[in-house]
Amino acid sequence: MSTKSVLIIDDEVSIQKVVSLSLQMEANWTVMTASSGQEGIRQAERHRPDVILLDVMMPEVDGIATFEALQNNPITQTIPVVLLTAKTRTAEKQLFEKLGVAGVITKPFPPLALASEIAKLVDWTM
Amino acid sequence: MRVLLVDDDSALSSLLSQQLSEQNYVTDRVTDGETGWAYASTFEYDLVILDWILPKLSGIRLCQRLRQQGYEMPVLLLTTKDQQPDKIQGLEAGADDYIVKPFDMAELLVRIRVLLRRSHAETESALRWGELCLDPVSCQVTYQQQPVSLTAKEYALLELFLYYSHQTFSATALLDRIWSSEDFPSEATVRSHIRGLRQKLKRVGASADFIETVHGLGYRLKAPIEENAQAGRGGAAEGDREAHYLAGLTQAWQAHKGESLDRWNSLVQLAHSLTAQETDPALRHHESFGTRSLSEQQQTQAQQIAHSLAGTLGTFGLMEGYRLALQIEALLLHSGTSLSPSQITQFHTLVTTLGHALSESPKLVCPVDNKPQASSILIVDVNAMPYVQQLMALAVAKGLDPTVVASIEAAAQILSLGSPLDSAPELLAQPPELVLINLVASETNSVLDEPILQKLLQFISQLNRRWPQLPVVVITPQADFGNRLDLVRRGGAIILEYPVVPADVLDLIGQSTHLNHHLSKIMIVDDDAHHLKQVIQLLHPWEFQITPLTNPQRFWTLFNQVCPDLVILDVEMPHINGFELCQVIRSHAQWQHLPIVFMSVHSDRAKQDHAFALGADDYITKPIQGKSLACRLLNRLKRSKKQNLVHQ
Repeated sequence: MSTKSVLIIDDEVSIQKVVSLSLQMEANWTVMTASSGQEGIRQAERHRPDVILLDVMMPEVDGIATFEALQNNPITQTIPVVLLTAKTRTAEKQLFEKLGVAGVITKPFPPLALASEIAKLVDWTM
Repeated sequence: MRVLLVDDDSALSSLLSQQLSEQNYVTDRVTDGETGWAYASTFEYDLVILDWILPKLSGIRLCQRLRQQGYEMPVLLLTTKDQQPDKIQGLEAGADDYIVKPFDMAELLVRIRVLLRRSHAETESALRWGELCLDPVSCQVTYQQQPVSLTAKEYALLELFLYYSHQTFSATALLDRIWSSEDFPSEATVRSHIRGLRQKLKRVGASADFIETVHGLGYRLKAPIEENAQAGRGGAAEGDREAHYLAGLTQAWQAHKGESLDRWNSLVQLAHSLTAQETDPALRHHESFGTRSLSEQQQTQAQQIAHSLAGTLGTFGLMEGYRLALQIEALLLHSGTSLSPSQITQFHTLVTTLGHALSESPKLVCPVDNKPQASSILIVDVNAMPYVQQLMALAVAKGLDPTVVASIEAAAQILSLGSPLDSAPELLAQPPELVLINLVASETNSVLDEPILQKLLQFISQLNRRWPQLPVVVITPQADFGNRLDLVRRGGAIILEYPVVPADVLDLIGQSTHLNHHLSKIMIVDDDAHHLKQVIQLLHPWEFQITPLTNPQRFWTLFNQVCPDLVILDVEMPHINGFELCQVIRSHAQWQHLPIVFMSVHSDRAKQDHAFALGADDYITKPIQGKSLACRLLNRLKRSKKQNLVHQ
């Protein structure tokens, strides 16, 4: 028996820290972090988190390519993915949602409501 | 509180476990070091008690392993080794306390409490939450000084919530923390105990949701409602959570601020290189004179830098920097690889202002789902006048978000004038809140050539047909009655006669639109503190200065101190109702024109008519919706400001 586990894939360590802080403060979730798409895929395979929080704009393998790789991997394809991105246009947001992500959270986000927002997007209930 | 006891002396272990249980601690007992490690690394414990000499893995090695793996729970060594060097070795291995066997049970229990208290940074021995008090020494729980009789599990649940008052616990987390690994309860058991605890607290006068359910996450203590809503952020839980978060946020910002400064520096260098570029003098009379180019790579990189900066600054709550970075990104997106002189000036101004914004301190980001962005203005200036550049720089300095375009085609593209009329407005990338059109040719010869003027006039008509609600401001050197009438017929909302100084343009725009009401003072009187808090949170994005009041008897004193720009009144309140407060306000000559808005659960016509008869300006029925409420208030404020100007 354990609490929810989250994998944050973001090339910025500062964002990883702030997001971890938010999730731990609000919901006491277990947080893992990865700084690139490749590392994120490896971590997701190994730890199979309950949800992945994925930055869209990353060097080398960006968020969309990472998401596609996760979807094509039988070990990780069932893990819900929530995109975390700076302000998007409506059309972009619609495009992301069409890809099959569980949802899109736009930065800046209210930090102490981040876990509930994720829970809502992936439809976790008590 | 959950304790792991690792000791191979089964008699002692059993006795100690019993004593701990009497103090409402949940204890897991294991007899060797390896099993101790397996338990400690699998379950969450608030305290570990270790014997030194253990089979398979010694207590001292286990303690070292725990610390090396980052476990921070307090560790108490309980051993027969009584020499000074042993004690030093034990403490150096990461133990927090050291007790020599044989020991006094009472002393051991006190030391355990001290360790737990220290690990939760508590200064008092009793744990308090509003009117509730839990004394871990006597295991007594009281609410408003009445004793509350709880079962051991209910006590343990309550103690856990009080120790970690800023946290939400899922049912599984509660099972981990409160139930021993030998028990096999289900989540239904947790729900049943929470229900029992709530009922017992309710019986002594606590609210039914003293322990509230957070949908999808679990349970936590509900913030006690404060009489003084403190700008909508009342409640120790909320304050506690926010303070904890802010401390962590500030620490992370200090550690990583350099990365944002590096990114900003690369934008500064780009701004310098744009200004320093030589222009071919042969192009002096060509329309592209003064235009600077970026390579595609430079443009993409700069856009990405601005985008990432926006994300980072927004996450850290540096909202001014966030908005500026977004404006830089939008500017680079619109300009492509060629920047006009006004766009270069704009880029420069935005980058410089962003530098100042980076020195702000991190803040807590508030809900932004319906948050209005910085008011955006689209400026159409086909002649690239220095005057417009000044206007743009001033707008940025005032916190607005101006975008300057140098051609009708560019403006038409931004405003989707070519797209079908029935396309949804939200498909417009970032619709401006206002369009400003400059019909001035130059400082020396202000009248435009007729063909260009006609094109711009047609553009105004087209704009009005496409976006009839969008305010259009026109600056023109020809503002006599005939021209003014023509412009108004085409859709101009405000016509300003050139010359007019840029500061006056922005002031006039602000007075006539919603752009400058964010600092208006609003007083809200509602005896329901919970509802009051909700309204304040709904309105938070609009940055009004809100004075909340739950006690109408204090109204007049506070009202005279605040001198609000608008008052919101609940209808039914104890002692003095909203209608009476409205009458008192209107009985003073000074407050005849103050906007008064009623907010009530009563939707019946008679009450609404009565409110309007007493001088109310609006009547809103609950439940309310943030955006709609804000728009109605902004409309009232706008009209009231205009009225005040007329009176002055």
